[in-house]
Amino acid sequence: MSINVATNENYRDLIKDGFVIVDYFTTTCVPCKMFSRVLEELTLDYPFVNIVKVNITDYPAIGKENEIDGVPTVKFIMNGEEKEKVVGLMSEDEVIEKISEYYYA
Amino acid sequence: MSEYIVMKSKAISVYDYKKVDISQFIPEFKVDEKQLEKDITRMLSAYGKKISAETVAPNDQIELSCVSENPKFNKEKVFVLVGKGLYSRELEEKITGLNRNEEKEITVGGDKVKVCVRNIIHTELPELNDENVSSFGIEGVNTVSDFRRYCIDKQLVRFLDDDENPDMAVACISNTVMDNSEFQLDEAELKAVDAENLKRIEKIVTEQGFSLEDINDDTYIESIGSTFAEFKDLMEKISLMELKSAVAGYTLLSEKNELFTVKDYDECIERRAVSYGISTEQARNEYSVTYFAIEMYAEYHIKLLDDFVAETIKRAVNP
Repeated sequence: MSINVATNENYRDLIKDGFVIVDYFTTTCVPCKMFSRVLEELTLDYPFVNIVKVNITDYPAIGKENEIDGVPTVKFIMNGEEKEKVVGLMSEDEVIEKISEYYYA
Repeated sequence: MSEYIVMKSKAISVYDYKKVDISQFIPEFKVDEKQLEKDITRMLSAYGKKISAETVAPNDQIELSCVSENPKFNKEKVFVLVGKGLYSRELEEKITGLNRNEEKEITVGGDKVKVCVRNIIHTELPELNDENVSSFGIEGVNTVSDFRRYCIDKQLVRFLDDDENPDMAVACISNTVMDNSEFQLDEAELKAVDAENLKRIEKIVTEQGFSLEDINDDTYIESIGSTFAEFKDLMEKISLMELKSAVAGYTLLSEKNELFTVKDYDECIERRAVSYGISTEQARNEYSVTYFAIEMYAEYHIKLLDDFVAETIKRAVNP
């Protein structure tokens, strides 16, 4: 699993192929930090999943375009198609469930 | 060197946050030995040697192609962690023992599936010894004992993530510092937080289906659980707290000569202008240097308290 940091320039490229988990966050949000740790742990076990992190304070346009009203927000995207958007902190097991549900659909 | 951004509000005195007693917020923590063993194996696996294998075994990561009438099992290329059961426990059991490039027709839940194993990656777990641990390159981790400590710390961080005590401790320190410090707040900076506060109130109220024109102080906002007057009062207190927190952060950073600079602000404005697709002039109008300073210094102060609480609790519950 690789973790990529999105910018206005690379965001679309990062989400267009394969199974992608997009984490929209801000640096001041405590649950975002917790979720970041969940994703880091997952990187150890799931090398085929790509993680894209979007700091919506630095890149508000991406936040606006994706209708991000609260953080953390997580999107599960398969080959560019949004499968689900979850607002709020997710546990490791919940994310694994989503990987199973969408990557192996 | 870029010019420092100076706050006009002043702190006559700032109470030392390290003096606040947070012993009542120290939680009880016991190492979960079972989980610790799992975490150690997981970490070893992450640092293990990945080798290309010939035969599928449990815990291998394989690349598979499947042909089936069931779309779930009709995939040209799919990665499977054998034995995790994320794809299909039955399929994962039935492909165990297959060789690379071997094709086989199996039945999974009544569906016929023709599988071919394209690639097999096996992880060789390193032996847990000082030499291997040292080669992982984890900062400050050179021995098996350090490694166990590192894994326990990760467990502790997860425990504290789920525990409400750290947040309560930060709130307690913040309130104590504000109550025991003395500030001279600048009019323009107060206006800046008020303006931002009004924007926040408008945004929240709009999200609840109201508009500022048709709402009055007695309107009860069910989702917030208070009247509009009570809500405004709370928001004003939060804004005032933000300004005081900024002054405290500014004072502490001044002592270290590490203030935010005009260059920091200019860079932030550039990013906002690009992100919103607006001119830098418009970005400056929407996000003043005054409010930038308040946000940045307040953020610094809160981070300071967060770190202090995390360290204090970590030391106190040190298993």
